[in-house]
Order: sequence, then structure tokens, then C-alpha cells
Amino acid sequence: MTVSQDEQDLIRSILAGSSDAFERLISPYSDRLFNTLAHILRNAEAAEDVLQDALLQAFVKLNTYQGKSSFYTWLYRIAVNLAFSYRRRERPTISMDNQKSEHGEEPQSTLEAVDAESLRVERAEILHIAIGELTEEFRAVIVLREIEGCDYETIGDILAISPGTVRSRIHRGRLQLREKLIPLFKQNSPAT
Amino acid sequence: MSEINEELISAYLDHELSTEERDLVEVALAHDPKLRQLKDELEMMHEDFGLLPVYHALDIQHFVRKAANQPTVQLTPKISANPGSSAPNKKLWLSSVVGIAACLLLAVTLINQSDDTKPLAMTDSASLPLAEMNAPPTKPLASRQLTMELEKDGAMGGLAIQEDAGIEDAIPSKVGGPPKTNNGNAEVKSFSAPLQNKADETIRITVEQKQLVRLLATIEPTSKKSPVVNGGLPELAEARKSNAANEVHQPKELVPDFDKVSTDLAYAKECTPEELASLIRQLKNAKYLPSSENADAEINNKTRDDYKDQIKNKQSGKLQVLFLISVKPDLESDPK
Repeated sequence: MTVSQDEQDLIRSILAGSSDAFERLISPYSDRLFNTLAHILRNAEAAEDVLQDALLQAFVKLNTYQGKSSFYTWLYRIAVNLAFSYRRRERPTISMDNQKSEHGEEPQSTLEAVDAESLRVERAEILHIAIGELTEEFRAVIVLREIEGCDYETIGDILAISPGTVRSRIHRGRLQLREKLIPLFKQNSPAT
Repeated sequence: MSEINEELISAYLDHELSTEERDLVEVALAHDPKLRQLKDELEMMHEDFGLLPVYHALDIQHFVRKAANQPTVQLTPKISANPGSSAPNKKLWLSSVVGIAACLLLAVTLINQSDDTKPLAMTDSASLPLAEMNAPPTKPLASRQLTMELEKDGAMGGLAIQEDAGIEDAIPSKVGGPPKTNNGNAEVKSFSAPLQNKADETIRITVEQKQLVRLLATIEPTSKKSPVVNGGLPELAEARKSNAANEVHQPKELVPDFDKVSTDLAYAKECTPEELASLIRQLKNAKYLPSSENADAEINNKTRDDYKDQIKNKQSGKLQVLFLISVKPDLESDPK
């Protein structure tokens, strides 16, 4: 995937001094990127910090961007790498305890009979918590695939891993998530 | 049910299989109820992802625009990031990106600065401020070529500079400066005067990259700023463009190495002796500057004896203060 003509023009404009062009270049991605970072980091404030750093680096380093990958991939690579660094630095402060206080106690797997919609909501809540329990390598591919909607090649470009590794990690990550959700899957099955 | 087959189910759901592989999976699904159950559960889980919270940074476009437009540091926190939350963000956020971007961009573009730009002498040791004397050791700045000048009428605020030979040696393959010209400083003619000689006070601080935003927020907590003396980003753009042209030979993109590069910045502002004393206290309290038991008394004495003398001949009643900030890479580098 290479940089689009529109983005090439915007990048040229930025390097030529157009400040508007930076906004136009970033705008299609910034909100989505923030959401992705928030899910990877499990912390909106941390996502703010990382997005800020990522935009800054993208701005400062734009003259090193050579168009070998799409600008989207380049920007996300910067941001995800910064998110990994952030997590390693700040891990003690981004604990599941924080998440529990934010999202309530982890739901118990032994549920009363509830209607399908509330069960689905509960599944999503458990899924949210389970994503936070994934290791970094699985969480990144799962978030990029399921939340950001990236294809395997793009994920590989962002994380600098092969598409085969992406496929493997996505599947293993999903299996780990599935383990957490199995009790709820059973409740939602027609047999119950 | 083999591991490879399970992986194929995931890839099947993601539409990442070839036609032949899809056919294989569909045959397997038709014959293996366990595979069908796995597929159903993974599909259900995929749907559940749609119920996860979506995080929005409010006014993000506004702040990106500010980041691109602002030639000076403005540090007004305005973004709220939590979904469903209307509370103003406590972080400095993207507004600070603008200033830092401007600072770093200027620093980057001046790395390869001319050979004949006059190096600035450091602040006379006899007039070294308390904060500077107590500051942690930094790289010697005597050889640095500070090329920013202060407006005569004050209105400092903002701006960053580079650089010394050491950093230039370390960086040229990563970030280029403006093209060197015959006279060596044509690109930066507006920054010709020695900055430090005009500063009444020089404060040196060493921080990690991750601390920079908060440091700048401490130094400049309000958004009431004057334009920077270099005219902001547009003047840098041409030099930056030339940098890019000079770097086409570089073998790869350089993102992974960014955190490994030290950068030196300068930030200038005007303040009254009382404001400066207060600022130094804040910097000490925040551990940007070393503190001691009698630091408060020393600051008070310095304010009473030195700063007040220095402003006697100044109509504005304000001191010109130069912050020399050495930005080090964060201790932990990015993962591979």
C-alpha cells in the first residue's frame, strides 16, 4: 500500500509551509487513532498522551516519511509503538484495578437468566475486560483487527510482523477471549 | 480439529483466505460440528466488539489545527477524552503539540546550521542565576550556535534552538538541517543575534521527552503569548523542504530511532522578578531543578538583590529569561 495522491499533495504542502495541510492530513485518522489507542492502553488519559506524542512525532518526522507505506500505516506505527512504550513505563498505573473501578467489578460468570440483549451487553463488558487481560502482542492485533478493522497486511505493516504471524496471533488472541466468554456463549445458545 | 484448521477459521471470518482455502474451510465446516461451533462463537464475539465503548477526543480537529498553526507554545487544556464525559480534560493535550512541534521543528531544521554563525558565549559565570548554578549538569552549551534573537521590545515567548557539534554528529542521517549556503546562515538571518547575551537570566533544565510537555506547561502556564520571533513554521518550511530533498538517500524511515536522539531547545519569556522567583520555586518543587533546604531563602535573596537591580533600567519592568532545555530520549525505548 502506498501513499495516496491526495496525501502526497498534503505532505508536500506541509513541507512547503502550509499549516492547514497538516490538519487535513491528520483529520481522517485522528479520532479513530484515539479510539484505537484508548483500547490498547485501556486508559483514555493515556491515549491522549500517546496521541499527542504521536502527532508531534508525525509532524516533526514528516520529512523522513518516504511513502513506502501508506501514511495511515506510518502514523499508526508511530502511535502503536509509543503506546507500547507508554504501557511499559506506566504499567503499574494501568492496572485492571483501575479498570474495575472505572467499569465496575468484573461480572461473574454465573448469571441469572436474562434476556438476550442484556446478555449481549454483559458479554461485551466481559470482552472489554478480557481484552485488557491479553498480553501486548495479542491485544494489539485484536484491537487493530476487530476495532480498527485493519486487514492482516496492514496490521503486519504497523507492527512490523508478517501476515502469517498476524493470523496466528489474532486466532490465539481470539481463543483467549473466547475462554472468558464461553459461559455466556452457552447461556446464549438455543439449547439453554 | 487441528491448530491450523482453527487458524483458518479465524482467517475465513476475516476474509483473508484464498479461494482454495475458503473452499477447504467450508467443506470442513460442513462436516465438523466443533469447527462450526468455533466459527459461531467467533462470529458472536466479533459482533460483541461492536458494543465496546468508542472513545472520542472532543474537538480533536480544533487541536490538530492548532498544532499545525501555532508558532508558539500555548498550553490551554481543552480536550475531553472520556466517552460520555463532558468534563474538561485535565491534560495539556494537543494545544501543547503546537508549541513543541514548532520548537522541535526549528531545532531539527537548525541542526546543520551554518559553520560561521557566531557561537554564543554562555551566560557570564559571575551572573549565573541561582537556578542555573544549581541545575543538574547538562551537555556543555558553550559551543552551541544559538541563532534566535530577542525582540528589543520584549515579547519573547517561545522558540527553540539547536545545536552543537555532538548532536549534529549524532543526527544528520536522521534529521537534516537547512541546506548550508555560501555564507552559512542565509536561512536563519532573522536569528542572528546572540540570544544568551541578551537574556537576564538563563536556566538550564534536562528532561526526558515524556516530561517536556509538563515542563513547558510549568514554564508557560497561560496561553497569553506573543508571536515567536522567527515568524513561526512558514519560515522553516522551505528549509525543511530542502532537508527532505537532502535526505532521499536515507535507507529507511526513521521512526524507531526518534526516541534515541537528544534534542536541545531554548525557550524565552519575559517575567517580573516576582514571577521568575515563583517560577523557579515551581521548577524546584516539580524536581526540574535541584532544591535544597534553604532554596526559598536563596530565591528570595536573589529576587531582592539581583533581579530588582537588573530591571531598574528596563521600561517593561521585566526580566528576559532564557530556558535552555536538554530533551533526552525516554529511558525506555520503543519495542521492536
